[in-house]
Amino acid sequence: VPTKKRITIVLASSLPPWSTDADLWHKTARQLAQDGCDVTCLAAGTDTAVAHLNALAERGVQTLFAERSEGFFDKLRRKLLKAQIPRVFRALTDFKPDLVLIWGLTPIDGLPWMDFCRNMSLRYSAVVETNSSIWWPDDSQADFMYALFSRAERVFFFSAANRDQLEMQLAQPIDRAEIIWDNYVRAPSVPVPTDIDRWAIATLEPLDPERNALDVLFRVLAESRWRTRPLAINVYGTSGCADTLRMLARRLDLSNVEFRGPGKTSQEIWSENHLLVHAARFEGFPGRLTEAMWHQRPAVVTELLAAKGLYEHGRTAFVAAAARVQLLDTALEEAWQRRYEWPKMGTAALAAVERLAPSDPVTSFCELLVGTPI
Amino acid sequence: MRFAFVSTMKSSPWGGSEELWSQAALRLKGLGHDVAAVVCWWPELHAKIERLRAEGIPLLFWNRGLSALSPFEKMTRRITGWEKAILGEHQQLKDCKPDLTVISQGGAIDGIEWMSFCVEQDLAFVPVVQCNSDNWWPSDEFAAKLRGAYSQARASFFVSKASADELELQIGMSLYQAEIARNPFNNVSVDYIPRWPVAPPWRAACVARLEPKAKGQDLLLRVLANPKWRSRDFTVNLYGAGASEAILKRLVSKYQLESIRFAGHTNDVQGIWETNHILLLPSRYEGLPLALVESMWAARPAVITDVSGNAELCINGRSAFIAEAPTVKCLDDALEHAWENKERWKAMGSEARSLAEQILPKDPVGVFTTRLLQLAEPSSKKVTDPWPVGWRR
Repeated sequence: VPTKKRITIVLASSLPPWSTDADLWHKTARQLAQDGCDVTCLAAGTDTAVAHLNALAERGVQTLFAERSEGFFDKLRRKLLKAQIPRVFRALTDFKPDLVLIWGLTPIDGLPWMDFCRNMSLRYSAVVETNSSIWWPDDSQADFMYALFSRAERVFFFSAANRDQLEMQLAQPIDRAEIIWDNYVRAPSVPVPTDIDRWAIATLEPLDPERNALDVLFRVLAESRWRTRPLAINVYGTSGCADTLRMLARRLDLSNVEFRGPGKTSQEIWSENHLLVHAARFEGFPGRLTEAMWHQRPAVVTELLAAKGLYEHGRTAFVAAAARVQLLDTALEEAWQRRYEWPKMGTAALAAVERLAPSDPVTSFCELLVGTPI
Repeated sequence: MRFAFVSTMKSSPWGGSEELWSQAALRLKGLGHDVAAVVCWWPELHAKIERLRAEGIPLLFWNRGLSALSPFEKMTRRITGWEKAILGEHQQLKDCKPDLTVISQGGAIDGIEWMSFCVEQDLAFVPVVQCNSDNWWPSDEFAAKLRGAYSQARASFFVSKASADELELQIGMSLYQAEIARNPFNNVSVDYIPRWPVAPPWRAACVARLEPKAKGQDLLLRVLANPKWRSRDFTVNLYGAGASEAILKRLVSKYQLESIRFAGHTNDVQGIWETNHILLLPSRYEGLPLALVESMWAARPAVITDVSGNAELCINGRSAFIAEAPTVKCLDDALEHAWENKERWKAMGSEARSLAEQILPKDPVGVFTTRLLQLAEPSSKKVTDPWPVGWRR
């Protein structure tokens, strides 16, 4: 870093634990601080972000928890002082950053922060973790959003598909868009389980059917031909919908589905599974999925993930056109018929991720950030 | 008998979801029953809501803005807070002393507070679900609340079987008392079939509000941007208005699509089908689209996506071409299939019409009203769900 720059990272998402799916933000904050930047972090008080913020504070990064809603006395104070700007936003002006990095889960999370930065003539960049066709701005919102995104120094996406989706939603190009990778940990590959009397298939977090269509997977597995096959479905992780999903598995009488809970390492997971299934309804960066590739496991995924360039149908994965029972069933059936090819496909998956992944996503991202003309 | 109709619609003063309950209210009033309607307060009510009042149906309001309150109410609200005020709005329902409360919802969850209130007060109620989607999933806690409410309903009405099935998955409960209610169609006559337009050019009508989030017009534009569609003598008329009109126009301009025409909103549905050969509905989610029902009565085939209840009214390849999912590729496949069979569209339209005659009631409001009268009888007890009992459907 040639000169000491003041960078503020704002975690703008209000939807825990989504906002902390990505590892990149706090690793970036830490590295920028190590490299001599003056870094501050503002977070909207998500539980899991707190731990990262506390760790950052120990390393000399200034942190501030932003309460989403103002308390009575905050509002009164603002009224008495006739202050138009909520205190949390004013913290930004107090820091006087050279660049504000506004980190949102969706394209709309960061809008108030971007609007504030624009009004205060602060330079800002935006990170959009994910996007989906189920959000669609109306005409006036789209104009407002475009005005803000077009003023950003850079707009970072975790996939070209999410950038393309936003360009459709705004019907405008995002000129200064960059595609980045989330941080990943490349642990040594674990061998494929040798037990082929019972094929083991893993499905990972998030256990949220809005994102990962476990309901669709369960309905496929309820078909009679899947019940008689020697396979086990291991469901890892937990969520606010876990009880409903367990109920659903019981109602469908899926004896081959086992909920394994949270807390397993990738080595533990992949030492006991041959294949990954992830029927994404929408997705940001599929970090846990790339771990499967590092461990040389192929996958059954939806087109949405294949569109990110990570998977190739028939070579590294089996791709369903969408998270629908019939379409996922078709992809799973092909996978099952070709199950003896899974090790070979796993090798191809490893080669693909080695080719696509930057060697150090954090450093690459920091270079992009400080390379921004500020 | 005494009926109360609660509408949870608050995004605008009127919408297609309001037709069923409001027409049922008028029908019951006409039959001599006591009827009250509880609707969201607007500074200016829609004419169809005003008509209820003109026909002698008292209107009660929820979500009243401060300007609509009396000074006493304002003071009460300030003292008790907003939550208590909302409870007070629910209390109006109890004051009606209804034999049956009909809670009309745009989705499956927006009437939960009204349903819970009915459970608490031991009021007989039936929810009406106009739409559902796999794009939302309740938390475990909220699912339990929904189970508690739906399990106590005398019946739960859905506009499609798929919507009921989806809710069963979402809340983990068999809806034993689920029933299908069909929405009224006002703009087509079941006794008249519009003449078949001359072809070529082949013309498709996309009859849907301009809202890609739900109606998927963006998918259609991306399909038609494919060179093979540019060279075909095929035009798509987009009927409807909506909050994303400018965005869609910009996309049409960006893709330089000469095959798309924005035809605006019209109530002349017969006119639509005198001009167009086929319905094109690339929806991402639905309840059961009225546009599909109307096109079937008008003897037109359709290209639809397999979402919610769409496929329940159609036979793929015989009365419609069904895209397996709302994606560009699936829609392109279905549209391509349709194009290859365009000479069969007229015959398929006849098949669609005969399916409408078999499946759809000519007087859906009459059917619904008759059922409500049965459900309002004290002897009409709710069916309890002996959970868990396994998978029913």
